[in-house]
Amino acid sequence: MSRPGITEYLRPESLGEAWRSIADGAPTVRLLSGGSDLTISAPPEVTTLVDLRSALDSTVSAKEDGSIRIGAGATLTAILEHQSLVDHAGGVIPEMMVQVGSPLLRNSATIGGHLARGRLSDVVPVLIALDAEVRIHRDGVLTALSLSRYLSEGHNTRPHILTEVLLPALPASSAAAFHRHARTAFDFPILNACCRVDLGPEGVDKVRIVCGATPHLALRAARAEASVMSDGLTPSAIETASRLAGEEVPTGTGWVASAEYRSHLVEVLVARCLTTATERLSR
Amino acid sequence: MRVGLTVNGKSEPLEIEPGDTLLEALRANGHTSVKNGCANGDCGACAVLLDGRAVASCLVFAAQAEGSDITTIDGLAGKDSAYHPLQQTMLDAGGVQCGFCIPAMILTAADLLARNPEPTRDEIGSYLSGNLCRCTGYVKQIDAIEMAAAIMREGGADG
Repeated sequence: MSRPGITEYLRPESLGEAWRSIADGAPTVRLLSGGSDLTISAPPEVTTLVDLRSALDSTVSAKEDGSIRIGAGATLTAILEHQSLVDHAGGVIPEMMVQVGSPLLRNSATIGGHLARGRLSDVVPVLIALDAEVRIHRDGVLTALSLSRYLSEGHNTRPHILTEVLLPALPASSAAAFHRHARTAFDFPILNACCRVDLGPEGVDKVRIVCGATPHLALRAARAEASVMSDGLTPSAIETASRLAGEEVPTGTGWVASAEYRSHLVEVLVARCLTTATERLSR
Repeated sequence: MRVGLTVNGKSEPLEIEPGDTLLEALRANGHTSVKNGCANGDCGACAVLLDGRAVASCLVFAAQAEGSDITTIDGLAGKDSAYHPLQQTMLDAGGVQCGFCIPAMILTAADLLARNPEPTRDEIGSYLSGNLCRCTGYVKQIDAIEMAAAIMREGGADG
């Protein structure tokens, strides 16, 4: 719906110009990327929109070292369809992304806007499982930090411009899987999980077990990860790891699910993710 | 403020307020085939093609469309034909009941077929997940899109 309180629309051509618009942290000014959030939920005090389209890169590119760079202006559809991301970690990104909203949303929502808003997300647990980094611009300085730190330390709540997402290269024997549970396919998740496993010559080399919508945005299950590192990926080891995840990941009660139900879902979804990742590694 | 964009192939400068959505700007300028359903990004009735991709026009500020190419249902058919295959098969298959959701549904399908000329029924259903219809069970609309895809693969599309 129209936002009559918005009286100014800026189109900065550079990050520096965009930064000057938001540097003082005035609550009346908001950065605009895809628009899918602000069109429906711009706070009433917002009077100025700063459209980042010209200032942000919106391309996805695979580097020679196997890492992948995603410009913050890239739409969720661009990420879903990019060939290098289709193949990354056994295809976990398109597996997850096709479940985010609808094509109508994914065609306009951008990854930068999605991450900066820092709310309920299927994308965040997957990117954290893939050890994603983000680059942020603040007062002329570009800083790289893990997505996990970006969100847990509240960088997204202070004036900044998220410029890109970096996915590090993965070993050839790496696979990940994503599962979510929601009331309907179109609805927000009641819980989601992503597990990634890298195999080395001696067995499991690295594992990430991340749960989201707990209702926390995303939390790693450290004891469950340690269990997989020591016991591997046999069915009984997966059962043990998923039980540990169910015990250690804190969950909360909301209007769609109780904490007890969410803890049960943690166990179920982590077991499914680990099983799927194991199947992908064996192909 | 003034926004310069192209609607259905014609340059169309629009006078808008900075907080107007694309949905509001298009309807205010006579493009009433763009339906105002929920204005909240849920129903998909306001979908248009923005530079070839289907978007909910209620989730885009009009000012964001500066320099863009917008296609509404009125601009989908080619110059030489009365209807685009998706429009014709929607009629032939009985996919239209009240019709409110149909312009947006056809535009979303056009976006799909431009990238996937031979989608499965599941793929069609998945791509329509943001286009709600309260009259039908989607079966005839999916039939229609399958039929249109076949016609377009045989070269029957000029849209």
